[in-house]
Amino acid sequence: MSHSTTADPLEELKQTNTGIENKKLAMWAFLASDCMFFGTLISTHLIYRRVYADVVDPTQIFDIELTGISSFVLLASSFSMALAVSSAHKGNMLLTRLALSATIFGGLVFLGGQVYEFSHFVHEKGLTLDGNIFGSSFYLLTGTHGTHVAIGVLWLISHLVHTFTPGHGRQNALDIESTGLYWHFVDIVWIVIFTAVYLVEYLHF
Amino acid sequence: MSDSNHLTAGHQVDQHHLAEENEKYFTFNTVAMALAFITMTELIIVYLPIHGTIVFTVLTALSIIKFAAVCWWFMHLKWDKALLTMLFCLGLLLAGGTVIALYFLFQPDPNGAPTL
Repeated sequence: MSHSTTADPLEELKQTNTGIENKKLAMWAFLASDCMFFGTLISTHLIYRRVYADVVDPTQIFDIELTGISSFVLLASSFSMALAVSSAHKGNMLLTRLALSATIFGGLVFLGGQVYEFSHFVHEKGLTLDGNIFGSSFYLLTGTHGTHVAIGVLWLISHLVHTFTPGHGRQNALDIESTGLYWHFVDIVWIVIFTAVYLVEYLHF
Repeated sequence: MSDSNHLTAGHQVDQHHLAEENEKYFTFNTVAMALAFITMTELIIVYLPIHGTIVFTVLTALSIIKFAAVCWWFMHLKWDKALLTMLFCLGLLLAGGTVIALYFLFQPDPNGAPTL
């Protein structure tokens, strides 16, 4: 960034002992700890699934096409989030708003799909939170992930609103980047859940 | 994408930084296409008449590729300092170790599952 003629507010934030912005470092530390949180939830589900293998046949319950589409949407929202961060770094607020809106839309579609899925499972398939061990661990794991997505959507909405306030600009790019890290993390957790909880059930050993 | 008319708050972005960000756009686009293709492959492969062990191995490999791609490009680890990669890998290592340890610690009972 030595080409800059004026002080770059984003470069100034890197003036720390590590050379990394404090907000970014804190977010990565949080995400590293959240890995352990989801790790225990995923292992709980997998252990119960193995120990109580005959409790339920998930392939009779899951709608893998719907979940597949939800996964596509979440991955697409990760792409728009990356664009939002890039646009914010360029100081292009118009594109930042568009990309943030697309990400929020993707998150809402994913949440809508999850609400529909849960509703369908409870009312049509009889899979409840306290009905059997599979229902308990499944709803706990996917519900916790859904809560993360919901928090992410609210966080993104707050950024979108903030972009319309006077004085908002490139100097706020780090805030959007930190939220972007959280959003991508939610996406990578879903990559694991989609494979370990949904797709694996369709295999025949 | 590089239209400076949209720049706000009076902070002029230097050309080097703009070119860097514009280059990222094409990278993100390619990664997004690859991720969509991999997810589609995952959905198709589970219905193919192939032995479960092979499909499981392929699914695991594809998930790892997707996971790594999002971390490396979308989460900017490629362009950020290595300390962040190490920090996240430490969390992943602890989480992965916990999952593997717990999974093999709780074996199914040969006399049947315990009563709930």
